[in-house]
Amino acid sequence: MRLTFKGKKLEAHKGEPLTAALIRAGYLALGQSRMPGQGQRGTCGAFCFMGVCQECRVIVDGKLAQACRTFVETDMQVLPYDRL
Amino acid sequence: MTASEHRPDITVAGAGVSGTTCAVALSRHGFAVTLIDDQPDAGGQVFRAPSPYAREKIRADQERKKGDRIRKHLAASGVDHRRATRIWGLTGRFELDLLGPDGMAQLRAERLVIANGAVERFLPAPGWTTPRVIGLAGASILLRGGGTLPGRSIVLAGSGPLLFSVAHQVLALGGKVAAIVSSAGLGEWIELGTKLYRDAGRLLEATRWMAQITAARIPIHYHARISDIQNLEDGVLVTICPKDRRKSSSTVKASILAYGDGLKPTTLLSRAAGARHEYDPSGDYFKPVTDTAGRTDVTNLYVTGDAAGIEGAEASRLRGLLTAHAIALDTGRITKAGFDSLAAPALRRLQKLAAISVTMRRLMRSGHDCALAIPESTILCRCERVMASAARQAVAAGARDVNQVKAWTRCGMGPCQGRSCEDGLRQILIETGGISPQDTGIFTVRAPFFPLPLSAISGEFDYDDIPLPKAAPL
Repeated sequence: MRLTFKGKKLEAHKGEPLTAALIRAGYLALGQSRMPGQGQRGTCGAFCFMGVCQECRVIVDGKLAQACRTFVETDMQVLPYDRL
Repeated sequence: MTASEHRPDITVAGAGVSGTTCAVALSRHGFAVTLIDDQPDAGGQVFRAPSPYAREKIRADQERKKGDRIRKHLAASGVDHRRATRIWGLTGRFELDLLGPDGMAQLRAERLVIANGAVERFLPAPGWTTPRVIGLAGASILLRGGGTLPGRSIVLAGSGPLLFSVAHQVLALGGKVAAIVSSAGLGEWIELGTKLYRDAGRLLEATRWMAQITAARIPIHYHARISDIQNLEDGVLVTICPKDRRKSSSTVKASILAYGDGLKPTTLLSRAAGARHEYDPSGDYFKPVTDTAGRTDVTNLYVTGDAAGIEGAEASRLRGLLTAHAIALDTGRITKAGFDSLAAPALRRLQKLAAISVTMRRLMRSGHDCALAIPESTILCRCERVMASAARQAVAAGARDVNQVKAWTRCGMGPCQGRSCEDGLRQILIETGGISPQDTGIFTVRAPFFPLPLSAISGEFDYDDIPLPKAAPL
C-alpha cells in the first residue's frame, strides 16, 4: 500500500505504526526542532515511540498527529508539522 | 463535549499486563469493569500487539505468546475495553477526561485502578537531540511492534536489562549491533544472573540472548557511559567513556544510537488522583505509597503493576491479580479467608521474584552517578532547548527543586511536559546542589496531560454551519 511523505511515495503496510513505515523509507527527521535557539537549527524525529515525547508530530491528511500513535491506512498524506 | 457518563463498579486505567489481568479477574469476580487504554490493542509496552507486518517479519517469542494470551482472555471477558483512548485529565473525585476515536468524553469512576506502567528515564548526553538518537524502550517498540530496524547498525547504551533484550531483537531482525555500552559493571550483571534461577523462564531467555550476543561478537563496554554523540551525514559517531577515568575513551560509528537509563513508574495519574508518593531509594524514583495489593491512602484508589514500583512483567501480572482480589475483599464480595486462599500462590511467587527485582532496579539506576559529567552546553530540556548550564546556574542561584528550576529556566515547560528532562534535572539538583533526592520533587501535574489538538475540543464543523444571527436593525 502507498502513502506519501512530503509528497514522495513510499511503501507501507496497512495497520503498521507510521513511524515504522517512515523509518524504513529512510525518514528519521520528521520536522524542525521547535526551539532551535543558541544558533542550533536542528531536526527532530521519533524518540520515545510511545506517545510521550511529542517529537514525532506530523500532519496526517490535514490533521495534527503523533506518528508513533498513527497506524497506516491507504493513501495517507503525511507532511512535517512545521509545514503549516 | 459529550455529557459526563457515570460508570458503576470499577474503572481500570491502562491495559498492560497488570491492568488487563486485573480487569479480567475483576470481571470474573462479577464487577462491571471499564478498561481504558491508549493503544488500539491491549498489551502495554512489554506485550504490545505486533503490527501485521511485524507478525510476518519476526518469529513469535514468549512475549508475543503471552501478549496474545492476555488479549484473548480480555476479548472473552465482559470487560468494556475502551481502545485508543487517552486520559488527559483526572480529578480527586475520579472524574476522567478522555480523548478517544469518537472524540472527547468524560467518565466518573466509582473505584479506580491505576495501571499505567512505567516510562523510560534519560540522562542527557551531548548530541542526544538528533533524530539518529532514540530511546531504548522506543527501539524495542519499533523492533517488536513494528518489525522494523531503526538503522543498519546500532549502538545500545545505558542501564538495565533492556540493553540485552534490544540487542537480541536487533539480531532477530538481521540487524547489526555495533556496541553495547553498559553503565553497570560486569559484576552487577553476574549478580543478576545468579538470581535468575528463581525465574526459570527468564533464565532460559537470558541465556539464549547472551549466547546470541556472544556468537555475534558484539563488543560490550561495561562500567562505561556515552560522553559525546556527533551527527554525521549517514550516522552517528559515539564516544564511549569508561567511568574509571584512568582508562581512555573510544569511538564507534553506527547508523543509530538507542539509549535509556532504566524505568520508573508513571506517576501522572496517581498524583492527579491525590495519592501520597514517596522517594524509593531502591529504584531511585518517586512512587505512590501502596500495600502489596495496591491500596493507596485514598479511599477506592488502587495502583498496581509497575506504576506502583518497578518489578517487571511477571510480577505485574501477579500484582494485577492481587489487586483484583483485594477489591473483591474490600467490597465484601469475598471473605478474608477467601482472599487469603486466592492470594497465597501469587504472594509466594512475588516473594520469590523480589530478589530479582531488587537487582534489576540497581542495574537500572547504575548510570545515575554520571550527572556531574554532563557538559555545560548539553541540552537538558529537549522541547525548550534549555542547557545543563542554565539548570546549574539556577541551582547555584538557590533553586531547590525541579519546579523552581522549571519556573526560572523553562526546563520542562515544553510539549512533553517535562517527561524527557525531569530525571536529568533531578540528577543535576542532587549532584550540583547537594539536594536530597526526595527534596528534588516532581514536576507539578496539570491537565491536559498531553497537548490536545484544538479540533478535539471544537469538534468538526464548517464555517457555513455556524448560525449567524441577523444583525440588529440600526
